[in-house]
Amino acid sequence: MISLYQLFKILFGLIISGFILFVIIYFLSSYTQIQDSSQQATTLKNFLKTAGDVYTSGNSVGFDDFYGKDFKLTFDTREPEGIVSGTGKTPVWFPLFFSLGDEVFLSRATIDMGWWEFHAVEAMPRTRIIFNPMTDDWDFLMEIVQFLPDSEFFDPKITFGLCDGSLLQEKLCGGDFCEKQGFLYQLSNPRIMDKCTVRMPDNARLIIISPSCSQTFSQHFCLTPPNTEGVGNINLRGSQSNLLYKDPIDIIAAVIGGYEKDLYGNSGETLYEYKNTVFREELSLASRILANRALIVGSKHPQSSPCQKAYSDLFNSMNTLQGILSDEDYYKNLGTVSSLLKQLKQAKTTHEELAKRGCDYQ
Amino acid sequence: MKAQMGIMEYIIMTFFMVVVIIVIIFFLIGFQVGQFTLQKHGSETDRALALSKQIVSSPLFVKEESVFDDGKLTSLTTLGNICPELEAMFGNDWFFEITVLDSQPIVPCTRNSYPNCNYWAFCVQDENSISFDFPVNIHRSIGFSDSTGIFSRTDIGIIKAGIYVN
Amino acid sequence: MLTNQKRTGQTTIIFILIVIVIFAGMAVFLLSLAETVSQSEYITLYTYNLLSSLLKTDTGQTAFSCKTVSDVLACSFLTPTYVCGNQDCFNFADETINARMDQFAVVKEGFRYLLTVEPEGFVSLPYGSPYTIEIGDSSLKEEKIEKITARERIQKVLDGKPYLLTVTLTLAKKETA
Repeated sequence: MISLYQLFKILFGLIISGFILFVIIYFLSSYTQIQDSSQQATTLKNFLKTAGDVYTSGNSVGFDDFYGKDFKLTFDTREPEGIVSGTGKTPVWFPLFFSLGDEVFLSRATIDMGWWEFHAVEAMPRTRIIFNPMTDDWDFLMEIVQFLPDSEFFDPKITFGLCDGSLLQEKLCGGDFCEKQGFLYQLSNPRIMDKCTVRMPDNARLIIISPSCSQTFSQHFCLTPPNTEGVGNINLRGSQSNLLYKDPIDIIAAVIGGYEKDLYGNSGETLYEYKNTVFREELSLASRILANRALIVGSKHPQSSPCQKAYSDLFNSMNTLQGILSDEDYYKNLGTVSSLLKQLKQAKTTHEELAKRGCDYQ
Repeated sequence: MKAQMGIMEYIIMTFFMVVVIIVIIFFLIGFQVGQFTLQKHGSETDRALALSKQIVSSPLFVKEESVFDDGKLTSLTTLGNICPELEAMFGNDWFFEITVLDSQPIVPCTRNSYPNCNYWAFCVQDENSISFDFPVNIHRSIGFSDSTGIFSRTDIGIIKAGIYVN
Repeated sequence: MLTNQKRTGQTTIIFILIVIVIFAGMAVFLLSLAETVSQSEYITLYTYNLLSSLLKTDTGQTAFSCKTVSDVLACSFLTPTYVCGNQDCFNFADETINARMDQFAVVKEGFRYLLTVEPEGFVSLPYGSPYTIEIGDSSLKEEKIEKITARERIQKVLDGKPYLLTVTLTLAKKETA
C-alpha cells in the first residue's frame, strides 16, 4: 500500500512533467516555424550571393542548398525585379535567368559588343537539352549551344542531345551523355532531321529549329533560323505572341523560363521580356556614357588629330543607338530590331577603328 | 516534520527546474532576436561587399576588372543627376567614390577640370553607411603628351563603395 | 539521509548552471565567428586587389622596361643594369613600390607588408641578377603571425625566351603597443 507522501510525489511529478512538456512543445513548434523561415531566407541569401559572384567573376558553380527544402520560388520581373518566396520578395540587381531545382548550376553568358558587354547569369537544374534541327544550317545551332552552360567538372549536369524523328540520341559522347564541349564536337556532320515525335521527360527541353514554325510545332520551343539581318522567331508552347530574337540570350532566357504558366503569364515569355527590358536599360545607359565620353575625351585631342574624327563618329553612332532604344517595345518590331543590330555592328566597327588609330583601347 | 521537509525539498527542486527551463527558453528567444539583428548587419555587410565587387567589374565604369576608365567616370558625373538611373540598376541607398593616389589635392572631375582631376563621387550623402575600400587602377585616357601624340597612363587609386544603413 | 538528499539537489543545480554557462559560451563564440567570415573575405580581396593594381600601375617612365611596376620588377631580374630614370631597375622598383604603399598606409592604417619576387623555372641570369627580391618588412617572412597573402605571375620575354616570375604580397596587422 503506497503512502500519501508517495502518492503526492507521483501526482505532483505528473502535473509538473505535463506542464513542462506542454511549454517545451509549444515553444519548439513556434521556434521551428521561425527556424524554417530563417532557413529559407538564409538559403535564398546564399543563392543570390553565389549568383552575384558568378555575375562578377564569370566563374561557374553548382548550388545545392535548395536540396531537401520545400521551396516555392517565382521570379517576378516587374520592377524591382526579384525572387518571390515564402519570406517575401528579394530584389535581384543583375540579370538572372532562373529555373528552380534541388540543385542548380550557375554560369554566366556574355554578349560582347566591343565597346560594351552584356552579362547574364543562367541558373538551371539538371536539364537535358535536345535539339531537333530540321535544317542543315547547324552554325546557328552551335551558336546557341555556345551560350548555354558548360557543366563539365560540376554538378548538376546540363547535357545535350539530338532528336531525329522517333530516335532520341543523347549518349553521343563515347556512350555517355554529352556536355557542352563534347556535344559541339559531335555537330560536325550537319543533316536535316525529321520532326521529333519522342515524348520528352520532365527535365528535358526540346528545341526545334525549322524554316517555318507553324502551329504544328506548338510543343516546346521552335526557332526559325536567323534572316540575313540576324533576326529570327521564337515560338513557345502556350504563348500566342510572336517573339523575335536578335541574340542567343533571347533564346536562352525563353528556354530557361520554360513554358509553364506562372503568376505573371507564360514563364519563358516572362523571362524573355525581362531580358529585353534589362538589355535596353543597360544598353541605353552605356551608349549615353560612351557618347558623352567621346565628347569629353575627343575634345582633348588636337583638331588636326585623326582621333577627333574617330570620336565624332563614335558619338554619332551612340546617339543613333539611343534613338532606336527610346522605344520601350523595340524588341517586338522586326524593323526596329533589324535597325538595332545594324547599328550595334556599326558601333563596334567605329570603336575598333578608334583603337586601330591608337586613339583608345580595344 | 521530516516528511514536510521532504515535500518542501521536492517542491523547491521542481520549482528550480521550472525556473531553469524558463530561463533557457528566454535565453533561446533572446539568442534568436540577437541572431536576427546580426543577420541584418551581416546582410548589409554582404550587400556592401557584393556591390563593391559589382562596381569594380561593371562595363559601365571599367576598362577591365578593377581598372576604371576615367573617361566613363567623368562622363557619368557630367550626365546630370545619374543617381536614380544607377539605383534602378544596382539598387537603392548606395554610393561609391574613387580617388587617385597621386599625392595631389583632391580635384573633382568635371568637363572643365578633366583630365587634371583625380576624384569621382556617385550618390554620396551624409548618412550612416557600411563601406569597403579597395585598391584599383584608373586608366587615364589623356595620360601624357609629347610631340608624337597623346598617350594613356594607368594610375593607382582607391575605391570606397558602400550602402547607407539606418 | 536528509543531508545526502540535500547534496544531490545542490549537485543537480550546479550541473544545470554549468550547462547554461556552456550554452551562453557557445552562443558568444558562434556570434563572434559570424562577424569574422565577411571581414576575412574582404581583407583577402583587398590584398589581391592591392597586388594586382600595384603591378599594373605606370611608373611615370616611358621606356619599355620601366613603364609599369611589373616591367620594372622583371627588369630587376632580367636586365638588372638597365637604368630607369637615373637609377637601376631594382632601386627604382624599391622606391616606386614603397612610395605607393606609403600612400595606401594613409588610407588603410595598421598593416605591414612584404613584397617578394621569385623566378620560376630559372635560377639566375647574368652577374648582378638577384635570386629573389624583397621589398618592405623582411621580418614578416619568418614571423608566426596571422598573414594574408596574394600571388600573381609576371611573364616577360627576353631574346625571344619567356621568363616567369612569381610576385607575392604579404600583409599583416601591425601590433598595437
